[in-house]
Amino acid sequence: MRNFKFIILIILVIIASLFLLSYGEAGLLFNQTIFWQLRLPKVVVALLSGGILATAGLLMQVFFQNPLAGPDILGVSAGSSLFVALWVMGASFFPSFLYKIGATVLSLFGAFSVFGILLFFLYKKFSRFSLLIVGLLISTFASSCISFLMNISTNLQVKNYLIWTLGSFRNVTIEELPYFILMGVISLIPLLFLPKSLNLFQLGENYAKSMGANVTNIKNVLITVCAFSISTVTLFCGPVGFIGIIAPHLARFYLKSSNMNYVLPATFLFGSVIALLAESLLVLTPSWSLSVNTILGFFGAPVVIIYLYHQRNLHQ
Amino acid sequence: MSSTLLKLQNITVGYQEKNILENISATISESGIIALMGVNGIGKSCLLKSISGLIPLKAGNILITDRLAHDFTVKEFAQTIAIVLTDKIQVDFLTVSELVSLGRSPYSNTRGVLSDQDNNFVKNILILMNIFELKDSYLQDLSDGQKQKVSIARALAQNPKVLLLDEPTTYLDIPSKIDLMNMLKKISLERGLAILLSSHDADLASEYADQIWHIDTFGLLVEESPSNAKKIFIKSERE
Repeated sequence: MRNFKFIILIILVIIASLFLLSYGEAGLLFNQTIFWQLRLPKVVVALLSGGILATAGLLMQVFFQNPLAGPDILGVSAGSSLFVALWVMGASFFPSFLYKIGATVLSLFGAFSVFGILLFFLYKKFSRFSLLIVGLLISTFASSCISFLMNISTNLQVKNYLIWTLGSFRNVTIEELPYFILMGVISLIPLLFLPKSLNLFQLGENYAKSMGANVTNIKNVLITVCAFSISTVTLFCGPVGFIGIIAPHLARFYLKSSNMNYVLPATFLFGSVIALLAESLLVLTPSWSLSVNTILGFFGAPVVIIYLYHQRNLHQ
Repeated sequence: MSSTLLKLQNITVGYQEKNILENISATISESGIIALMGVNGIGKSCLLKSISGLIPLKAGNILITDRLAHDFTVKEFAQTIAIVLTDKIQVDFLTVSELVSLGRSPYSNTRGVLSDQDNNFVKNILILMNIFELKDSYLQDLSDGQKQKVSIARALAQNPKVLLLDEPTTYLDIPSKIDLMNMLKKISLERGLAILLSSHDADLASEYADQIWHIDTFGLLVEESPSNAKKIFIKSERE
């Protein structure tokens, strides 16, 4: 039964990918340049970023023992965005070959800073709800800073930045693709060793410790993996919302299991499916000039609210 | 020389700068149920967490099976001592057998795969705790009494010599309390296990415990016989 469920998920990913590879805004046209320059990078990026954001969301939910944690909700994406904004707006001062490397480093720095702030409040015994508010405030603060930066920047830089914040899986060129895949795969390798620790950790830190888990180590690995993967995706695709919070719940609910050996890969696949479906919607409605974040927000916000409603019934 | 299961030598426990209990010494030399009693907030939970290594000791030594606690590796320690806390486990879609199997993780490989032997061990624990028919149920669908049994089964799966239980009977109704205590008594005898449990219930303690550790209002730990339990507890309530 479980294998069957995984096969269905994989088939979904394949169908959506094939659709996006064969159909684009130019219609059912098949042409070498379009395939290599546009469609292939787009599909690979959507597949990987969706999966990575989803798994990062799952790791954060386990880490913070909070079903509502996620890269966007806790402000990690915003932290990354702020530092990328600094870089984008200041780009004219730097030589162009430094551009991508500098942005990578700063985006990572932004994500780690936000984790630092969150950990401080976690250590001070902030409740899970207060922590969500801290995340919200970090996002607000970051967007204020970004508005200020926009006011003092030239039009072109502002436009570049604004387009980036809408979220898109189409920004990666075929030349950048290997770099993106490399970063993505690096951030995924530690996941192979995590299921046992995650299974213990989701019972709570004390229980994990009492069963012989090295809690400090697990925490460090979780934070590093999350910061690295979120900042990679944010850098290339902009701050993409909702996938990180929704996919883990879909995976648990779909498999009716919390066993991380299965939930972790299923979460990745659900993330990929969501990203590919969002991209398919974009392709099907070219005249509406939608963006990934518009679509994810439109469907994502109601799903989270339905989830909260369902939880209220469960714990009464 | 007689061997002991657990020996506390002048230990001081507490959180950060604050000492909760100072200079505690006590010994458990044979298997059975040991009731840790004392008024609310005196530091029973803190003492249990310190013994299980969740809170670092401020001073003194703990010997488990005649060996210094900090000489154990993390894995060995988890194979010797297990704890059930008052923290609720809130994970959706986790089955009883999955949770109890997690108790075998001190024995499993880095990927957490259990051997046939481990699976057999888990099965025996489930039968022992009388929850085998619940093995595929989700945790969220169980009653409080069943949840408590499952939590204890998870700890027993670690195959410990010393089992620490923080307020195991607090949220249970009377029949469940009696059922659980009978079961614990049986298990401690069969497996040669020392069960140290904190409790407010003087009746239950005097009925089932083989030994009482009473923390009085001055924070001193006194080892008593169960027959004194009621008397002591009523006295300390008045103080």
